[in-house]
Amino acid sequence: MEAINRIDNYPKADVQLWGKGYRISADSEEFQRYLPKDPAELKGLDRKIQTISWGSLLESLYPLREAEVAGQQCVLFDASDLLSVSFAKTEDRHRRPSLVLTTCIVAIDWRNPQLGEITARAVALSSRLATAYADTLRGNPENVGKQLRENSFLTSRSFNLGEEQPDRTAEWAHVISAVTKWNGITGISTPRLLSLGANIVLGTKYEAERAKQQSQVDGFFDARDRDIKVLSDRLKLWEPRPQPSTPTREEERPAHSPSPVSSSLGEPTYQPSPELYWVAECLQQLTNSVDRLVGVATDILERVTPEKRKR
Amino acid sequence: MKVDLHAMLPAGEWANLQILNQTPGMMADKNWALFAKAKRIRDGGKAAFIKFIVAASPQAGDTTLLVTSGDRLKDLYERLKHIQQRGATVPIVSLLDIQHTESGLLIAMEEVTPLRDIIDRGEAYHLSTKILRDLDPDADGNGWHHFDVCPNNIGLLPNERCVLIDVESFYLEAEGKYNISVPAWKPFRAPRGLVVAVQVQLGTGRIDRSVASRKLRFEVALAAAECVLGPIPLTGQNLDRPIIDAWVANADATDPAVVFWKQELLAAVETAIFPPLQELRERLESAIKSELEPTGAPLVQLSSLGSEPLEAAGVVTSVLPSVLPQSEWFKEWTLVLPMVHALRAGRLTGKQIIEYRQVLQQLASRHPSQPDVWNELLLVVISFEKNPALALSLVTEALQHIPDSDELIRMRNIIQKWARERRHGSH
Repeated sequence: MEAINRIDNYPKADVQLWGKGYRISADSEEFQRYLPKDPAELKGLDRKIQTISWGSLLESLYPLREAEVAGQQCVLFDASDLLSVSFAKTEDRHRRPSLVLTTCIVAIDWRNPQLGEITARAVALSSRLATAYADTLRGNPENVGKQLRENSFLTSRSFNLGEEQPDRTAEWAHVISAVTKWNGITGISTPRLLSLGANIVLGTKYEAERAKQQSQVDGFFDARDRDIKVLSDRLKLWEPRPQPSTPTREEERPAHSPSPVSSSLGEPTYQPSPELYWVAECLQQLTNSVDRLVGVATDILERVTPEKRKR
Repeated sequence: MKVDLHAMLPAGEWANLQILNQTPGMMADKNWALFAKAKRIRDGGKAAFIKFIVAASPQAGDTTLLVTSGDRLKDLYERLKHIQQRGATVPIVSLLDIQHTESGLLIAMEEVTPLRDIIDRGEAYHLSTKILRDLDPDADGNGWHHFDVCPNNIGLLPNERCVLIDVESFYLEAEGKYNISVPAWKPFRAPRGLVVAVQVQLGTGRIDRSVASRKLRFEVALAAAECVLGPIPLTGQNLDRPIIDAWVANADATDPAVVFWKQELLAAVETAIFPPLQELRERLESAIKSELEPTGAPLVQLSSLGSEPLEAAGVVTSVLPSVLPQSEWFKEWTLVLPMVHALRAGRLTGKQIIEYRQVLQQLASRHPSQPDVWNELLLVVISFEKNPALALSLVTEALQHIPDSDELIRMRNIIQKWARERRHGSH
């Protein structure tokens, strides 16, 4: 009974599944959401994933080996949820490389001392499902497409985190402990998945500074010091709030109990000053264009080089 | 009726579905069921065994209709749903999914290792007391019955808990009785007196609590005896003294567990009754212990390695004696095997690893010519404790007893290099 209680102590996670090759939520076979079929089921951070521009992100994952793709991690945060995102490699019906994405969203309380463990289990679940569903979707079997269309692929999107073996590829307890110190963190991610909305790199300082040239990076998690090293002035340490005599509802939260994203969904708290906004925009567009050019050039080089080797 | 399990099972819930062609048992023999293995994607990704009982057509024969008619499958579905709700309070394999459709009944359960396989491999000795403990109907209150307990229908879960499989034979008590819908069992595994008592009651379609308990005790005890004595010789006749004599004749007469089971079985075939299983288990443990105590120095008690974490880790501790004799290396090594597995599964805490190493050291002092114990010791010290000085001392000691072992010589060279590097690194 004790074991059963332990399992029940963990929150449930709702999953999403994305892939290509079937027409489920879009009238094409391009990368799209398979689960849930009904967008009304999506909430909070779940909805944020719907607005991602997938092209360049997926392109950057295709050249990677299966293990490298599976090693990419991204956890996004807001005041009340965390969302873990995982990818896995598969093949379409023509045996061309394809990708599967799974997410799992968990309602969280930032004061929960078990938050690191919950995160580790959420990461484990999204990662395990991505790998499992990559096998299931390999070759786009007809019966799987039928089940997805008829909404019988899963009996429920809700999974019990209590049954998961926590992910150990990162020290999630330390990661979360570091995240809770800072105001303005939208998520933590390996460099390739930063475009999903995270602003902290799960990697080295070198990787973070390199990624900063393409994405908004405000820091990185230093695995050696088990702390977040800040790379911009957009992150602010949470200050203990003065204790009012009669706390308002908003201030009932303990003095130091952060919800890293204090502004609206997925947006960092920092905004450039209005005068400089258009300059920043232009610079960002320029940077993006150069990045795309570099990316295309790199891809061409990577494709040409093996050809040369073969010859 | 052709059943396509691939189409029937939600692909998001099940992975790696493999249809099995042959499994033992009545259902497979009569083509009444399809069997498959799969990975359950939910619940942490457990390996599962799937049985799909095909609903009989109304034109089927009487026997087929008795077992697989639509009505029977509906009743079975209801019964299994109730059993599923009881969870771990009854000793049945976890029922992961139960679906009833017009085409039949699908039962998905956690995959187990059948006790029959473990007995056939000669590796079940340590499970004798465990079966008496885990399958004791009197342990957690009455209220359940399995009508066909035998090594084919007992399974060992990955956490080493013994559970009952063949879930269609599992019943919950209703008003002091069990409604046995399909009275399929193995009367040749019971003495005549018990068979008669059961058959008389089956005439009414129900057996009462006392007969059910007597039958269950007998069948569980017999399976526990097979763990020590090996498979019972089948003659097709009811169990009697000559069968017991023939069975025990192949076992080691100096083994206290063999002596114990011989006495108990001979008494039980005469009376057709086994005592309560807890009493039986305590006497078996005591017999093993008292036989072993006079020899050798006491070992660290494995059961004292922190009972709570070890229980949680599913490590068998009940049969491990507090002392080990100087002879019978194989039996002693068998007793340590659960710890071997627990170590590799990462289920031991740091403190337990140290205590496990101490047990191995004492085992090595008793059996210094056995390479297995040295190899295990070195594994613990090198990979888990990461102690080069101790590893060097142990491998040197091992080589004094087994000087020609190339493996140990190679290990010593590696450990020496490691110890040197560690020394230089620390300065």
